Amino acid sequence: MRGLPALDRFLRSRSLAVGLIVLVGVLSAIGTVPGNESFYGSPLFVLPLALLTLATAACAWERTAGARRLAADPGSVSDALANRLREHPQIVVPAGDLTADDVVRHLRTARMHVRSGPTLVAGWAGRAGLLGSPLFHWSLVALFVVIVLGQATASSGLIGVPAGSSVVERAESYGKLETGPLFLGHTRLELGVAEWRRTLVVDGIDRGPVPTVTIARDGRELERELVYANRPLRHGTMLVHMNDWGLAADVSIETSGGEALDRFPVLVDFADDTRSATRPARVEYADSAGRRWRLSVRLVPPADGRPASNDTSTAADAIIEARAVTTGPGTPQDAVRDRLSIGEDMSLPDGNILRFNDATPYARLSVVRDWSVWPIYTLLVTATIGLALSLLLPYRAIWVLVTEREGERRLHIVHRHIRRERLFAETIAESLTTAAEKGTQE
Amino acid sequence: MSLTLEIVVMWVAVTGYAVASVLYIVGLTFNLPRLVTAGLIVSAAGGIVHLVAILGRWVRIGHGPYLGFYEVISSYALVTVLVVALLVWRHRPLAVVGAAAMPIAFLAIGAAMLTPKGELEITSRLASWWLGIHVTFAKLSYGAFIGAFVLALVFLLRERATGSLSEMLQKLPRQEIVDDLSFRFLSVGFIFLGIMIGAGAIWANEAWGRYWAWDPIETWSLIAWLVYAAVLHGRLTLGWRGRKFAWAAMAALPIVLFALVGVPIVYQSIHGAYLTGY
Repeated sequence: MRGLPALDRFLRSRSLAVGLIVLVGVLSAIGTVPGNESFYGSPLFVLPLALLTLATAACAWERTAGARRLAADPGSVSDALANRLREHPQIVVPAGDLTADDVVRHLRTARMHVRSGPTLVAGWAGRAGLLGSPLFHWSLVALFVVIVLGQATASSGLIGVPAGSSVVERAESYGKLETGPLFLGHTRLELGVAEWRRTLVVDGIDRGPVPTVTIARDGRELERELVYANRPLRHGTMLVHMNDWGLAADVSIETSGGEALDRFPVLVDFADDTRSATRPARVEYADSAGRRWRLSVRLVPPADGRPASNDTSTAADAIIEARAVTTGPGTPQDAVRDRLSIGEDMSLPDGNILRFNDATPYARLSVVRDWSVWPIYTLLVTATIGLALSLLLPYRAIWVLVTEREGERRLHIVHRHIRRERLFAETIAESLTTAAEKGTQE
Repeated sequence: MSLTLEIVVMWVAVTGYAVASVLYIVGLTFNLPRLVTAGLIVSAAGGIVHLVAILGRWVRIGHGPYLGFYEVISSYALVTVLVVALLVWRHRPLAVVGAAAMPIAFLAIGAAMLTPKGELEITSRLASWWLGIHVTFAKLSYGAFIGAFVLALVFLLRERATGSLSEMLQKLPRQEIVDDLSFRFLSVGFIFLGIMIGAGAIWANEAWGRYWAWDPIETWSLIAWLVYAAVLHGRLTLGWRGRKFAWAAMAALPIVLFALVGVPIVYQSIHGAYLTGY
């Protein structure tokens, strides 16, 4: 416990704050070097950032206490201040015939709030600005905390939903999924693509293939929206974006007698540059003898060039290549490989039949669940308001004492500026001097 | 306005900026107020011609000047010229700011003229109200930082100037006021840069579903903000004033310019499209 004051002093050190800000800036730059993408999650980056957050909190605490003190009684005159005004003023100017009332008028002209006595005038401005620095710094601290908690509990991933169908939001449905260490679980809501538009032009801009995405629970529709860039679908903390599209092959396996064994969609990704299949989709199944098979299906790139990104006619002409291999102990046995068009089938090694029923576009939806987004926006706004108050409306106060010694009248001035600027007090002093000289001449 | 006519009009503006630079510098060096006034008039006229070219292009291609090097750099140059002309018109002693800023504007627009002038279209991803907010605050913040830089340069020049330059600089407001103005420009730029980054984050969430991805341009904007935060902290808590603050304000500008122009060239980034095309 004895070390706490020293730690507090260390964290409140202004030099530490500047040093840490520069250090985080340099570390951020190191992370931009290609190949260093994971740097921002490393302790080398996170620890200085955490220390900066602590230092910001310590400074914010100190600033809050100071601001409360000043805001409570902005023009108050302590004994020390009264003594300073009498004996050690920061500025002394001739008073001429100026009285305390004249000083009051001058300070009001300078848009200051004024409190006055027979010989002493206190003026201040920017009281609201006192809130600025604490508001800004506390907002930053809260921002760091909310971002960390948000990342720890968030999930984000890509789900492929063939047009005209829906999938349940759970881990197995995602092709790619990242969850924070404190993630609380999936919603099990049903994400559907009710309608698929090959193209949609809004405000003269082609929005590309656009799905109508639905969110439902137990068959009851909760949300329905056309989804494209800058127009996501929201449901609670869930945000659904259109990420890309591809083809979904409707594939079934049945016995030679026509009995359906399995039916599943196979999503086939496109690469952005080639619009051709990039990786095969894999499905595992067991035959009647209990042997396990891995069936891989991939889209065969069109021979006549690359379809445009919004050309879903590919679906009708789709050709898939199916390959079945055994899995389990031993070397995988490449049993069959064949190419199928829609409606065609092929025999599998176990005597069953694989049928390519249909091909439809599917929407690759980006699904993000992050409760922290709106709190982050709110904190960005409060931080900006705090910063603007602090920088554009600085608290400043001035005390002017009208004195007379040995027949000479003077104005003793003490001033305080939250940024330690002298300019405002010097400007007021100059204006008082001019007024005093003018009065004397008159 | 056709592209050919636009290019001709732009070259007229480039010439105007070059002439204004010479008039400002010669007028101030040899203490010839008429030349300074001529510099102000020519720079303002060049700015108006430049504005006509930008508006003509805007009408022709249907969006503001924020896609591609040519549009972005040219519009920054225009904002600088118009702000400086207004400043010098209102406070003639600040003509020295014009003498420092006009060559920068001339070089910027000259560089822009050498880049491709392809008419990039607003894509689905760019079509958002946030684009306007993001770009507006970017331009305002960069303009304010350039203002802080120029005032810091004036502060340092006046400390070291001798001869006729020194005499001319004596007409400026006293050093404390120049220092304070530089601080104010920097403060406003800092607030605007923060708003630009925040608006970008909100837009990214609307467009891509994530508010921050450590993309190089995002990161370098944050680095610029951190650097200016350090400069402001130095001023407000460590007492960096006068010369020290001026050097800091000048040293920070290259970082923000790198974030604007350098990053899209150096890094592969989804953000780079706004400068380098698609």
